[in-house]
Amino acid sequence: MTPEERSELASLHALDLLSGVEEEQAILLEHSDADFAQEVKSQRDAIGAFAAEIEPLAPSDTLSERILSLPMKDTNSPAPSRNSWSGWAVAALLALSCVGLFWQFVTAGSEQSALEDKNQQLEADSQLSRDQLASLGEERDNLRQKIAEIQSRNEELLAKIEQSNTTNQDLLAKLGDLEKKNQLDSLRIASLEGQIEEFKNTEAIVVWDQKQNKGRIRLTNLPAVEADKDYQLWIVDPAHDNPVDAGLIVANADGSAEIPFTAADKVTKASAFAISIEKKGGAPVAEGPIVFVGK
Amino acid sequence: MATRTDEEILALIEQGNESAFTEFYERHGARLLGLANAILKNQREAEDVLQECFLHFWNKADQFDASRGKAFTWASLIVRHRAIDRLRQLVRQNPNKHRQQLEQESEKISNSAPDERAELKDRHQATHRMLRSLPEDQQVVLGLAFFQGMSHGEISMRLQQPLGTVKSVIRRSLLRLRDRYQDSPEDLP
Repeated sequence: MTPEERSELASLHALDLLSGVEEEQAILLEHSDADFAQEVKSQRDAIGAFAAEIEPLAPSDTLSERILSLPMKDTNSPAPSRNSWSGWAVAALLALSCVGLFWQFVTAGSEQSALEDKNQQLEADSQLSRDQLASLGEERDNLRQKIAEIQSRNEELLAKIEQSNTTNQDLLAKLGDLEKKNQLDSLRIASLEGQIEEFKNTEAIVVWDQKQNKGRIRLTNLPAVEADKDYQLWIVDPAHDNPVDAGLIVANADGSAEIPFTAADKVTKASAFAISIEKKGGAPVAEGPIVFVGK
Repeated sequence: MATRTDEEILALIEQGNESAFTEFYERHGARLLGLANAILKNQREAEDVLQECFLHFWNKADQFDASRGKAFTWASLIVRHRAIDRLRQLVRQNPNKHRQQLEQESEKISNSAPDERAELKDRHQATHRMLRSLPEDQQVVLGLAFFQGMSHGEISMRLQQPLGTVKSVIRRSLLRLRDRYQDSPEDLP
């Protein structure tokens, strides 16, 4: 509660305008919080001073008589000391008691009436609360129904997403198969054979990927070439007048090599692969002897 | 002989001192009757309420707690409370007459026509000069709260103003009154 809210509560409490929880809160604070109690007191006294400034109204004579005789009439009076007793006094006391009882009856009626008023007010408040409760209950039911609808819709959507995921996975699997098939379709494996005795012990295998226009060659027992020479790989394609350059082959000291290569031109159809011995650094067109050929 | 304070008089009333009771009545009876009449606008009803209140003072003087306010404050709040209760009772007994009166006042306030508002203000001012020192919104709100016992919620509905605004106006009006009386303590009863 902010200081301003506390001060407002003090003002409303001082004016006796609070009811219900707010009133209970103010009473509690007044009894437990000295600062709040002081604030209420100061505002209450300001109200008292305000009331004191209202134009006085002269009471009628009968009112003064009635009021000033109250202590004598009232049976609940705070018992002044009584030093002597007599029969008359007892009788008078009894008579006064009757008057007092009558007056109590009158005032009790007034108090009862006030209580009835309070009761009516409470019943009205209670009815209002019941109405508000009913309205809130209706609102809660509507919200629950909406939540149920949203949940149902959500479950439907989740089922559809699940279904879509399954379909998607199926499609992806099929696509994978197709791609694999496509890849396999585009792959070609060729074994190259030595054309002269010196190269009979050499194994040379080419894997060619038509789609990507590149491949990989694997060789074992490749004899060393002269220092000013290089092995060069070629791809024979009917679409080209000359074999297409596929790069130099440099083997390890033990004569083995696994070299990826890319065709220098687009190969439409690799009908054969060949390895020739060319001058150092290779030649744009095959000029040297062909030592390996394979389809 | 030094004048007794109201608090001392109430202490004597609590002990059953009739002369103290008379003194309290003579000192404050007319003021408290004016207060009841300002709320009820009917002297006969106001006198009945005052009689009930003085009976209460005689029987329940022990309920006065000086830590919660001055003796006159205690008495005036009891009179105000009972007068408002009586006013509500009268409204219920004769709703047409009183409702008409309240509705007329309500219309005057909520229509907020300057001349009508001025008329309402003048009526309160005639009853209570202190109101004149307050800003107009505080005069109206404090008038409804103090003289008609309207809760802040009722005032909010009547004036068609937010509840927070009404609370704030009530607070500011009371703080202003408090400051005014603190500046001039001789005005305090």
